[in-house]
Amino acid sequence: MFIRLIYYGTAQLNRSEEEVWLMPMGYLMDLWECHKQFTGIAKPLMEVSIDDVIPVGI
Amino acid sequence: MANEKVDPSTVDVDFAAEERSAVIEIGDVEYKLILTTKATKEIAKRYGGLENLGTKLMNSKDFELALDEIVWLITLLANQSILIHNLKNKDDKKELLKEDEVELLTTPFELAEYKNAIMASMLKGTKRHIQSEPSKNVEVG
Repeated sequence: MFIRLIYYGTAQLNRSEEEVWLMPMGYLMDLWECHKQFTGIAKPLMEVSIDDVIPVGI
Repeated sequence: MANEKVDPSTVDVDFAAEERSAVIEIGDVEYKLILTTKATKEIAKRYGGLENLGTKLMNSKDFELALDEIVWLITLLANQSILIHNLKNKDDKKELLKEDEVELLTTPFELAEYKNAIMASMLKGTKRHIQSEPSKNVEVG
């Protein structure tokens, strides 16, 4: 399982192996989830637009 | 190591670790406890998975054994922030904590506080912000 995580981190997310080992677990999983959504492997559960986060007019 | 020539200024694990860590004090020095991928692997090796850790820590009837486990965990988790510092500061590396040092610098009275900090670092370290629709993939390998 960890070999796969290192593969995802180095080959797919383009981080050094050392960096991947030292990433907080949830952060690495979030990055991998973003990658899957970006490449179309997964669909976001909820779509949030930047306008929802930063109100118009600021 | 793959991708050995990475520019240290691009390393962003420190920023991510900042919000996903719990802080404790050992011998008047603050240490950040961080559940990294590396720490998760070590814990999985020792306990057979993160899910078994809580049972082991909370149900440990043998006080000495519980102390040993907590010292091991604190050393492991605190060393992750030192390793992150060393990754970012190749010319200003800090020495890693040793279990003997942690044993010497802490008292059993601090046990409850450390248990909480360990649990907090686990929760923050595994915290997820991105969610996808449930996958229809079948389990492989």
